[in-house]
Amino acid sequence: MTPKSDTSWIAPFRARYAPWWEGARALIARHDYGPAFKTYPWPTFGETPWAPVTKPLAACRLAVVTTGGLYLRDAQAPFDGEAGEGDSSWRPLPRDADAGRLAIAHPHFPHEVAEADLNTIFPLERLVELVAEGVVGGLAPTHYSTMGYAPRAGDLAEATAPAIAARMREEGVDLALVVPV
Amino acid sequence: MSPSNNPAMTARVRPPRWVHVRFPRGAMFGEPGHRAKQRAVLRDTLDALAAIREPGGSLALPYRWEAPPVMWRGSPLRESSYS
Repeated sequence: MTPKSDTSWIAPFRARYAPWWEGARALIARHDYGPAFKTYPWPTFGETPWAPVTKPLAACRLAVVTTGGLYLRDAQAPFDGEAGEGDSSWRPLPRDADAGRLAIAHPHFPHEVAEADLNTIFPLERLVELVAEGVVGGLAPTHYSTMGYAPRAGDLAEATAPAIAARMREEGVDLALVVPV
Repeated sequence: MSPSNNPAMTARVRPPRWVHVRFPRGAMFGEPGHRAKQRAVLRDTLDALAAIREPGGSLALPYRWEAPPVMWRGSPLRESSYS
């Protein structure tokens, strides 16, 4: 069963976002994020989404969503990490892609840990081990990245998240592990 | 299911289920190269799926950062400001 999404917050959010952006754009242009986001009109959600767990973990097919700004360096465009209003696009990452093909386009977090070991933000190798041990049922053919700097929350809710969810449904995903970065 | 190093922010987002991890931003499953610890964090995170029975429910995981602080914009990230 697909839980119904609450979209009632989007229009009020956008009404507050536009004046915020007008006031914040100059601060953000000079990377003065602290003062800019002190007045960010955080979305106010009326409910917490919920889907009951209907099968054991050992029978679940899992997909990872990281906000670490990962993309395939030889096949996909990087995220626009310099855009003041962020980048709310997404990238499908094949389960079997070699880690060497993955690159980070997300200038809003320290990369040193993830560059040393991508499992710290995208734990696919660890999940493969858990599947081999029978702890997790399986991994979806596709996993996903967004780039965590995406203040246009309405765009994420109306375009990005539904597109990712649709692909997950096509691939029979039972469980999403969402890794905020 | 989502790990969080920032409970206040996560409470705003209202994910269905989450676990609190005390790791700096960009290291949500622990130190790089620490395979056993990463797997333990990941397993506990996934086991919480069955343990959390209410929308928005969470569990705190016991792990701590055991490497030198991660630097961000010239300052070390500390647990009170990991994200």
